[in-house]
Amino acid sequence: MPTLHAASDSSERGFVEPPPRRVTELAWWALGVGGVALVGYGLVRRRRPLAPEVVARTVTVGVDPEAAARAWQADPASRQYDTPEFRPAPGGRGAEVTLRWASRVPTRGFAGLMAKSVGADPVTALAKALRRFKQQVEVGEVPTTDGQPRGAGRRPR
Amino acid sequence: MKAVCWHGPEDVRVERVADPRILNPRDAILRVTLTAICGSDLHLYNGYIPTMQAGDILGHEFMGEVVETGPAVTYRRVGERVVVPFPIACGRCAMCRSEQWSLCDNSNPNAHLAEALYGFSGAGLFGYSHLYGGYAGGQAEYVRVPFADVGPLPVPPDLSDEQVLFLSDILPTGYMAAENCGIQPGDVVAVWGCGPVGQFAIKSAYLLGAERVIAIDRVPERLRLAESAKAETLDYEGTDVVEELKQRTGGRGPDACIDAVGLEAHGTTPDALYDRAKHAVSLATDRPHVLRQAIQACRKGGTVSIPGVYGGFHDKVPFGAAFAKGLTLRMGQTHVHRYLRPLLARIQAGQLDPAAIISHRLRLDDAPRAYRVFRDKQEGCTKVVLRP
Repeated sequence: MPTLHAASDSSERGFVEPPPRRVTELAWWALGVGGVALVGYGLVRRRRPLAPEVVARTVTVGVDPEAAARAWQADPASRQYDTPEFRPAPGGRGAEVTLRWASRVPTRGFAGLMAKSVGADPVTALAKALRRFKQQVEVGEVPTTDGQPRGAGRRPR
Repeated sequence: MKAVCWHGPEDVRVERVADPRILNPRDAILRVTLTAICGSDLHLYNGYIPTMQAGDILGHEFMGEVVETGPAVTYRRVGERVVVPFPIACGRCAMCRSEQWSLCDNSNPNAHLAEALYGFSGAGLFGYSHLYGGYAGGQAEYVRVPFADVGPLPVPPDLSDEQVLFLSDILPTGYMAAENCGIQPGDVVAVWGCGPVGQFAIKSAYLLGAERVIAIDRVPERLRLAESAKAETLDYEGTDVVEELKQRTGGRGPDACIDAVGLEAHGTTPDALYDRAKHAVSLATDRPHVLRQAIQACRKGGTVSIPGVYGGFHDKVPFGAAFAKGLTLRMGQTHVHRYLRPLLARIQAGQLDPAAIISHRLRLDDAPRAYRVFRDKQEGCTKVVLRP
């Protein structure tokens, strides 16, 4: 039958005194941080594609598919990408342009989030390339603010 | 040149900066002759709009004289006097071609930021954060105007700067707010906020056929201004606004409600205090107290029109009420380009006198004081214009 004096009974059987509370807390923290790091590392490893992952983005431009294809061929900045797919947009809205890219940078899960946070996300890169193409086709220039005046202070990134 | 630069909450400075230059072929450079502080600039001043950076040049209500044009500019000429819409529109994308100019696909160089936050990006705006493109604003001696053939409207010589300046934003904004109400003869329209946009919404509601307009605010001089525009007034302090509006509309509620306040609503009701508490500890960007009242007060099948600026995510907005009552909600940045010529014609015809709302005429150098006075509604301030 257990009694209220069980702890003192244990001491009598030679158990050592528990470490001070602060040391115990530190040990738990170390275990926790280590665990999170291990899980994160595992996720990154698991999500890293063995083969390139094909990502795609689409934009609608206000010219017909043939004109869009010609504009793509004529644009030197487009040469780093494969040729997109051009198809008519419904309602006479021009051309839907789909660009695909085989990327080794992960796009999903924890690893994808990390890639996005450091600006290495392939989907964002595709979206920027397509937006630039749309601006060139529709307005003949890529609007910029680089080189405009500003007051003292941090430069925009 | 001199320019009004943002350096943080409640910190704007007049600084010497480089002159603007042509960066894109369709740009023009303007010598600014008159500019104004907008109520929505106060959201920047108070630090509630994200992605501002120290040194950003403020101002989206301005006009001036063309002093330089880019090689692809066809219609604008050096020496022309123009007023400039605050949204920057390319004029060629599907949105611009359907006259939804403030939703231009191509004018925001930082569209990826807006897409991450909102799903899609609207147009770039002058002087209104990097989320909206990071364009330098017009509270300066000179300003670069992209797509100069599309936005700027030449001004007839017989009209003064003060008569046409507000075509850049607040006059079309008030007008679009009233137009979005789909006003029918006999309609009663309630307008929350008797600042400049609210005043123009009141005038526009009458121009579009409203029978009665009820204006809601607490600042005496603003309520007086609304009265002079033939609005009935309602001081919200110490009043149950929703019940009072029901009483004044035969128990039906207003046919349309205009929220001309936006994200920095004041109030003393529990929900307003709750908003303020969340705001104070940075758990919320917006205080949608007026929006809640407008939805609650609007009659069944009515329209809530929202020209007031909102930026973030709303808590405790009675969407169930909007659904149950079959309300129409209409909102968005103003498609200024659409309204420039019709409203200019109304000014020329004497139907509108936008200059009447100006209470303070100051120099650009006075901008720091002007922001403070306008924000705190000191000295009976209803609208500040700055002359560079």
